[in-house]
Amino acid sequence: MTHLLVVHAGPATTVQDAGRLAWQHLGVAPAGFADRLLAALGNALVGNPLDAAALEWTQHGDALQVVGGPVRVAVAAWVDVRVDGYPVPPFRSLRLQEGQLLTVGPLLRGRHGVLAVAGGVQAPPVLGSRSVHARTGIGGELLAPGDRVPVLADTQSTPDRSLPSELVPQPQPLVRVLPGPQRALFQPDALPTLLAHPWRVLAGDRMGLRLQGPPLPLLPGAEPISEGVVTGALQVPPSGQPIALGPDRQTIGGYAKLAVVISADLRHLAQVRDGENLLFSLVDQLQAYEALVAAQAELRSLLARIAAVHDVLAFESPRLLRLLS
Amino acid sequence: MKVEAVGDAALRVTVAETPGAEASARVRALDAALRAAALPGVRAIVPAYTTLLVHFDPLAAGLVLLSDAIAAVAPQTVAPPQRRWHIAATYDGEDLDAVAAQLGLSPAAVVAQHSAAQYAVACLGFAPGFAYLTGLPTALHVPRRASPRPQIPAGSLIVGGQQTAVMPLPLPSGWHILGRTHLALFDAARAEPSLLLPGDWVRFVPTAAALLATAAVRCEALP
Repeated sequence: MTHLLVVHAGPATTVQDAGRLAWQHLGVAPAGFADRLLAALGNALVGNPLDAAALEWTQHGDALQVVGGPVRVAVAAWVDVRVDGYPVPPFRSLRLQEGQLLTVGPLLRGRHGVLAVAGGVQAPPVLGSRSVHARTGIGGELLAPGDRVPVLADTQSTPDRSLPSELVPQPQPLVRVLPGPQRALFQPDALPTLLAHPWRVLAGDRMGLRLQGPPLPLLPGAEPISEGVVTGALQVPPSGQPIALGPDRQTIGGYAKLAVVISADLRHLAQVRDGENLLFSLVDQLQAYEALVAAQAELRSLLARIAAVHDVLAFESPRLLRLLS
Repeated sequence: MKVEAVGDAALRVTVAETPGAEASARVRALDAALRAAALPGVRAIVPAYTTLLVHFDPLAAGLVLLSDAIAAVAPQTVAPPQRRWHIAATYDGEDLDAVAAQLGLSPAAVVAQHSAAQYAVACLGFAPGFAYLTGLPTALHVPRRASPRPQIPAGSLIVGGQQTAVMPLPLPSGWHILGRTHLALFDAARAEPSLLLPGDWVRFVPTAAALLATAAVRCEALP
């Protein structure tokens, strides 16, 4: 069975797809890609549906050896990628032969990157999705050395495809928010304080980001009733320091939510790194919708720029030389 | 009933001001109606104590139109609770003595009160199959631990604040451990993955450790 053998694992690599949104009423976290744009581009480069299952890593990628190849892959991230030690560009599909070693290094920008595989990662779906929620083990665990990532052998000899990486919009530490429905539980100056100051990311994972800045005080005696929460919610525990919820968030939460990041900017929220500063700006529902439509249009124009390439990469030439000799 | 946007991809429907049996019944009635209505663009419906959160795809459903459609859905008449779970519990948890001391009760009195009460599943959250149980006797209300434990065993019977629960998976928790159960609260391979569902009644039956696995759980169908 064709697979990618994990030789070295990054700190937090998981299989992801669109997530399992529909099971939240049973307490099942949605999970799913943190940066849907990168996932869509990676999948498009290998000819997949845009939300096919792929590997998403955090901070540092993995070293994977092809077994039962060839296998077609594409890395969507700003990162050093190598095949058998030869550098290859990201945002480009590659056909890897049996035994070849793909090494994905530390991210140069952002928190997450995506490794897409033609045909999609063949992990068994759980509740309609292959996304891993590592905290509860739904869908699987973090990738570990020795794991075998099931994939499909690439039977089509289509040319490699690439996207000029300078076209890919980089993550920005500026995200737009809508006021949260529980803002009435806060002191009147809480929302202006959120908007007026940079927020330092103390630590984060796929569940959420802990932010540091001036306190966002709740009104005395404010006792929110636990309710359903959304990805991108800025919830404020009694400490007054907000937590921005990510795709591995809980389904229900008891902390008051001051604001919610708009759908179009969730990828920017997911990509901010520990130690960086985030800035929030306020928009209304119409602006949020227009931003999402604009993001969709941008994705379509990027997909249209993916084109076949016919150059020979350095890692392919030793093989060519052997074949010619 | 009040419908408000939560960000640009969810609507919160509030059906009651305060949690309780009345609020839970209204939440369940609207939950059933919204699922039956299958409104286009809806991705998930998450019932809680006094609210339901309707997640939707903003490119497939307009916020205003969906909001109006939700407001127009008539809550379904739902049957009163029809199941009562009798869950075997061994009250030998590491926090039992400390909780008893904090409440000014003997450990035996804590066990007696906890196992005499009948609980209702208000909603599921925190983890797959984690049921928030209401109905903890006031005498057993206890603040959560100052520092949460990084992991407690699956099956732990816990109390925190005004609630009690059984932990479905090994997870971090700031609640106090009173004892343990032997339950598969969540199994993704089952047709109904969660054992407990909103509206169910739950009782805990003090059980010797040696009998815990065999006694485990019994479901009583209510007339």
